Amino acid sequence: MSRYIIKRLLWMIPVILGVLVIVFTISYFTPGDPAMSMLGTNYTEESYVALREKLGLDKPFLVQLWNYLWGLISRGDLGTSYIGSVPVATEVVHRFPITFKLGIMSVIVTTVIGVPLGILSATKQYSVADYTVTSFALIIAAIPNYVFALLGLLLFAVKLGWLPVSGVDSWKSWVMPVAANSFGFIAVIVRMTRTSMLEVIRSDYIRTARSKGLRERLVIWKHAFPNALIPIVTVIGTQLSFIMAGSIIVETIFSIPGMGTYIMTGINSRDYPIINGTVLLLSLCICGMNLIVDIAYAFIDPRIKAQYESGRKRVKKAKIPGKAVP
Amino acid sequence: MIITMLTGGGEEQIESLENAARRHTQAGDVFRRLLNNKLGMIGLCIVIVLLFLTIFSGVVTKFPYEEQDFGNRFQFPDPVHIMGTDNFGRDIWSRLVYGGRISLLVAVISVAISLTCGVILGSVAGYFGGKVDITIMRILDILMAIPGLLMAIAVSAMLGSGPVKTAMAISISGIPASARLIRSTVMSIKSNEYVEAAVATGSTNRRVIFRHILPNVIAPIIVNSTLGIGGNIMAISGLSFIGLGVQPPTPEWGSILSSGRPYLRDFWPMIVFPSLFIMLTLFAFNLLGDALRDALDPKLKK
Repeated sequence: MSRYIIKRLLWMIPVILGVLVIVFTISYFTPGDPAMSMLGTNYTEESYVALREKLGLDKPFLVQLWNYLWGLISRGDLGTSYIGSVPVATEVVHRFPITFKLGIMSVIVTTVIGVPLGILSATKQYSVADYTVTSFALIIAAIPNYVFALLGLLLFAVKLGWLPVSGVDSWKSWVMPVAANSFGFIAVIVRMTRTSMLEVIRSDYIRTARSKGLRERLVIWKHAFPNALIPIVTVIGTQLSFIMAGSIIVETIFSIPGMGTYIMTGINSRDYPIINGTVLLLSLCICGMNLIVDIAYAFIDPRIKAQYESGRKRVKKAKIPGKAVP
Repeated sequence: MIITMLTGGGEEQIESLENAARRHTQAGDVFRRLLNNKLGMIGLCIVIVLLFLTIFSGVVTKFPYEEQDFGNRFQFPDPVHIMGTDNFGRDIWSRLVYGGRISLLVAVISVAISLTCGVILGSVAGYFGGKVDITIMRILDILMAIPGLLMAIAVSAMLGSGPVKTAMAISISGIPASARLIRSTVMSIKSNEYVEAAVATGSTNRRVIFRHILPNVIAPIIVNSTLGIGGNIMAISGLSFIGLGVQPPTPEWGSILSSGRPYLRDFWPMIVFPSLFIMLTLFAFNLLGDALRDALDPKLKK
């Protein structure tokens, strides 16, 4: 098991380096001159040349890339933002926990609502409850987070006055951002849980469990659910990346001082170190979460654990069944 | 003639048999299954109405989308302006209908770009396997580590605004997923006997891929692109909403929604109507995509 984890951790190194190179290249070719925008009205030819030299912007692309990589590896330096001259790492230390909190709360809400609804829908197939849940999933799948956020603001903040419009001061201010960030993903989880449970419920061992007189609750939660869990965990894992990225838009709408608003500041002022640093950290976070999901498989399914331990290449880490019976 | 021999005559019988043979084409079966799917039909109808509105924008709108009328700013819906007017006195209905043209076009272009790249990379990786596969998949793994929207935001900032550039930015983030899908399908098709037979008869790799493998990948491609158009409309509007992507005064659903944000407290039509358009379109493409998946792969339905 530990061998597998070490292998996965080592594989993260080239991925992160690759991400870094891609992001650096993108921001290098982004039009706009940071030195020019930093100088503003104080622009003179000499000060411009001096500033470019100071920031290292006069060097060729590969030299700049190497300097950035070396700074990051040797000192953990994510660079200093051009505007305000604040080290990106310092800023990120304050902002990252906020985005992480938003992301984790969204994942929890998505799972806590989505999984039980999916199970209900599968166990009561073709009932009123099933049709209600599947229609609900169909409708919410068509609501993007920014639309949900604005309509929610319109209703709950402006018309009813129950929730604040922006900020993160109280628990109330988290309600709308978390709801906006998780709503659409609930649909995905509901559908996957339903499909996966329906497949399991039809297996022979469930029929056996029922025929030996086990209570229905025990059949569902002890026999069916653990076996339906792998595709559900897989889909939660893939949604993590969407949820983290979605928080950029949500943070912008609710003026939450997290990574999303920071990256937008970086993009608007062509502040490359901010863009590079935030994208890198968010990608690292997603790689880490994917690793956790992969390790979680081992705890859910002993067969996968045995595969990890024997070091064999996994042929299929999770079977995602197709669409459910409507 | 064979039919005559088998059935032993009967003009009508022959005709009905021939008709039956003609009727049972694969495309016909798929179409019939699609027609039987009520939700899918609802989706298809909404998509057709949307296409009609966007193609005949000039006919269905009374006002040009850029015509400003400062005497008539922030008009609530009335018989003249059915969805009201915005902060510049422009007709919201006209802007939304013309905006749909941009959203749909950009979504279709971006899906086309990411699918083309995905088909090339996925089929090469899946067909050749080995080192080629490992190299391509590792590069895609790296691309996948960057969240799609984040990638689109960064590329969009690099390329600048405008419909075509937005399409390119969105399509890059869609390449890894479509390449993976095509790769897995190609890998499963590759093991079929008819592909082995084609290789054994000396067909070139290109011929095997284009003539024998890719035609069988068409089902996941159709489903993926239908669902992809919906997803991309969401992404395009999202990008425009945060100020990247398509910029005002060009009408686009996300940017119309974003321009209504400052007036959230007092003027709801600039928020509610663009939201409705976005949700209805996504809803329609999701329904249609699901229905197509069921129609193209009835095995899943069982």
